[in-house]
Amino acid sequence: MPEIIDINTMFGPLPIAPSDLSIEGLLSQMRRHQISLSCTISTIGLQLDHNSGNAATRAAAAESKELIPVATINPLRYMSNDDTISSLKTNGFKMVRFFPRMQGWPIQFAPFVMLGHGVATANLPLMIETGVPGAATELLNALGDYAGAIILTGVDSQVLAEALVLMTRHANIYLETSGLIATGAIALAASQVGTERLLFGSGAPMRPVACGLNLVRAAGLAAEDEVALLGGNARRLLKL
Amino acid sequence: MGTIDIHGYFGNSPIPGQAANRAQVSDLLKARGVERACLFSAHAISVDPLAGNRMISAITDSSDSLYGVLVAHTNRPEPSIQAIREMMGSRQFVGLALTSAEPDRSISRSSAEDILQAHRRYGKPLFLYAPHFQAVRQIAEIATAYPMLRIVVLGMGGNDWRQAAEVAHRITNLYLETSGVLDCSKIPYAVSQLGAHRILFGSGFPHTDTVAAMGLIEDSGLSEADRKQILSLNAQKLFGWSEAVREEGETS
Repeated sequence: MPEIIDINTMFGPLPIAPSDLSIEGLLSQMRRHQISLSCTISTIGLQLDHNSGNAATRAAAAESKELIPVATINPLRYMSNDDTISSLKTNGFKMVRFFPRMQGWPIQFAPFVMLGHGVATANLPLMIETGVPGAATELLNALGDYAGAIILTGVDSQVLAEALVLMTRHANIYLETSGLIATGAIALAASQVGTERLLFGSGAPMRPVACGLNLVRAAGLAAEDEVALLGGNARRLLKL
Repeated sequence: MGTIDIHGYFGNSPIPGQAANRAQVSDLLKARGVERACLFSAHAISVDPLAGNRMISAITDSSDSLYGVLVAHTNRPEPSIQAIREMMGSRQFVGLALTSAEPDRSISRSSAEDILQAHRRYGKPLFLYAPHFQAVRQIAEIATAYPMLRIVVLGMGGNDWRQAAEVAHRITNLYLETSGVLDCSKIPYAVSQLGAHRILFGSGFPHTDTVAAMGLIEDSGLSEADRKQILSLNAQKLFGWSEAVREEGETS
């Protein structure tokens, strides 16, 4: 049984969703599907205040060792030039996520560009939603010569072509799989950019883990590629 | 009978080369453990109702696993009605889907009237898209005006699945189809509102792979009996296949 690491989970109150996302619900899904680690983030960080959210994420990860803390910073609320990002790393965060669509800021946005480069300097992966056409292209234009790892999330069949073109040009871009729900999407991405650039994410606990896992297992990948996609790549990239 | 996926597309796959011919569709369904599937023509939706439905007629012809849902266009009533008269009598077509020039827009009862009149004599279900609550409300109006017509609500209201389930609870000729958002709470909530007997498994493949949609049922926490109803029995009953299965059993 390959190790499974889920890089896309959340917990906390979420008024835009029909129900809140409980840590118990997340842990229960992890147990049911034998997921060993989940990278998670508090919804408070993206909905309200990133400092409170990051504190909640740290607390949850301290309580449950199978939860890997992921930080976020809202560029709209980032008013200082302090050492926030390096302190995130010191505090055990393994990745920093950004939510331009949910928080309503453009990717060509000076505070984000500054924060993004800070994330690269801290040698943490940056994960960002790029689910609308043009967003990933804009991201690469905004960040310019970016040295760090970038994980695109929210990529569905509508923007997969864009993501794959960018991934063939930039070796530091990775793809999280939860949006790849169309038949053949994971297999196509694997064949074009290699499974070492794909990372398993489920969107749990709002989305059932079984949806994402079934897709990976039905993609027709070689056994070693499936192992890499489900956990090995995340372990390497996030230094777990 | 095994799993029945009542909502799949032939043509215009978002990933090139998927479900592009009869053999590919059959192989895909077999690999996913689907015994029967109902196909909608992407060509009929986007280009030409008559030609698209004829393609579905050709690929489902004499198949035991592939069936068609005939697609009619509210702003192309003449070719749509021609397609209904030409093909709806065939056992391969299990129902009628209505669409319009803008698939995200709701279909009003007045815009659908002529097509519904042509369709009602066949006694087969109507499939209507419900990407949001506004569409569900329009569907409720049609369902109330045509109480004898069984209406399948495709996509369960999108993010508004909670309201869709509440409407379907009140209007008993509505059936909810499971595609749309992949939310853990969606199916358990729908079952709590209207029971498992009016919920039908559909994925919208190849746009959403059948296995992803199955994951929604697998992680729903429903009883085995409820799952079986949703994945197979309700579709058999809606399409009159359970009688056919019983008759086959009796004659053999």
